[in-house]
Amino acid sequence: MRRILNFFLGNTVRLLFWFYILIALGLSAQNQMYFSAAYLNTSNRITGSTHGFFNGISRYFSLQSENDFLQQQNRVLQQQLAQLPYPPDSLYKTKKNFSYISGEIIKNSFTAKDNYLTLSLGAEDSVSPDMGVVNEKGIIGIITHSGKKFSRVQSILNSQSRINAKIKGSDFFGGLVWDGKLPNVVQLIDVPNLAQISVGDTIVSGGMSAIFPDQLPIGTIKNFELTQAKDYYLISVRLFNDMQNIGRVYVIENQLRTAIEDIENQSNE
Amino acid sequence: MNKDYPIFVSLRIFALVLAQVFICSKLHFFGFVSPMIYVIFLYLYPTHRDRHLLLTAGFVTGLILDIFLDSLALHTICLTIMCYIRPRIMRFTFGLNFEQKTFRIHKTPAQHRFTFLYLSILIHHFIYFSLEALDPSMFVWILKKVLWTSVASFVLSVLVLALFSSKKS
Repeated sequence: MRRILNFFLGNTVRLLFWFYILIALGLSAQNQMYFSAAYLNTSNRITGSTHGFFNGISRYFSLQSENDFLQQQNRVLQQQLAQLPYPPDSLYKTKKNFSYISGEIIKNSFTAKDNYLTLSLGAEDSVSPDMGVVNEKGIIGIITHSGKKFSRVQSILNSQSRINAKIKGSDFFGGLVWDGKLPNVVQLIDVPNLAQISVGDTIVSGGMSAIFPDQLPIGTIKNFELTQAKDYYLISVRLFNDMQNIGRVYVIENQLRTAIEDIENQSNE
Repeated sequence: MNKDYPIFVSLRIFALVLAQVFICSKLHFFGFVSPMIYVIFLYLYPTHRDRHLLLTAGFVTGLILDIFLDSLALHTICLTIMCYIRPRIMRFTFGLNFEQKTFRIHKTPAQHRFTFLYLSILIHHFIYFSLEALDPSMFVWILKKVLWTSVASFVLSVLVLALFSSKKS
């Protein structure tokens, strides 16, 4: 008994070290497994507000470019409005029942292997996990956790991300993943070798999931090769989006999602 | 006034965390290098203070950084490990001088201080990026990140230390 006591008393630093390491590993595993504790990410009210405050200051200095961008976007939208075959009051709702909520990215990261963004919208704004986040140039990520006022977005630049995508004008689908190397290049995998592809072809969202609508822009083919088994392509995709500079975004809400998931669950049973 | 008072140490750590979260994490040199200057925590923390307190301070600082940076407890693990092995790195860099009770890091020769700082940054970054990748096939990526980020972190850390050094030449 005395020996055990002496061991503990003589190794308090080592024991404390392992105690802290175990806590840290536990927190890390919890977060990896998606049961993310609200206090350990930036969708938390305190951290979200602090990021929001500093983001507000830095955005102030880019007001001119923001203004130019909005004017340009307004012009493009007015041109599209003039060419619409259906009445303007259906603008906010697409045919497939996707509605859009406007927000802003207040914390961005793209240098890590698993990148997360913080969004200025939360449960109060009807934002919930598994909603898609896009901007006018394409897909940005998927919401993994939503606090009261802020949400955490899993960027497409994240090793856990896998988004359904296809080659525009064809029905060859694949999964969009990221190898963690370049922040403007992602990989499209599992596209069958029957697909006719060439460098410069456009990649769009596949619409096979209830998160993103069909035909959202993603990027263009930078280069491609066949896998070792020669049955699938491994395609490098240059993103339209500049992931290093994201400001205004839209959260996509699929109003039919519950209905789709219900029917899918029933067929699985 | 003694700069080793807990209140001053805490204030310096707090300032480091703020600088890391709101300045350094937003810097992206060459598009992929984000310096981590908070490693100078190991340099600034008083040398012969209780090791339990050092470990606890490292753990708490890492945890705050992880909360703000969404980094899956990586900073917590790295900083706790670095705090644990700090006496060994110091013994390796400063030799027998480190054993003396009167040892003060800012009174040692500049080359020793810089060696200690760069070695700490290098080991910290190697642990950080290895844990982040967690994949042996990404070894080249890890080395590239460690090399470039450690240089950026070291240069910025030396600048920060020079800027806030009270030493008059």
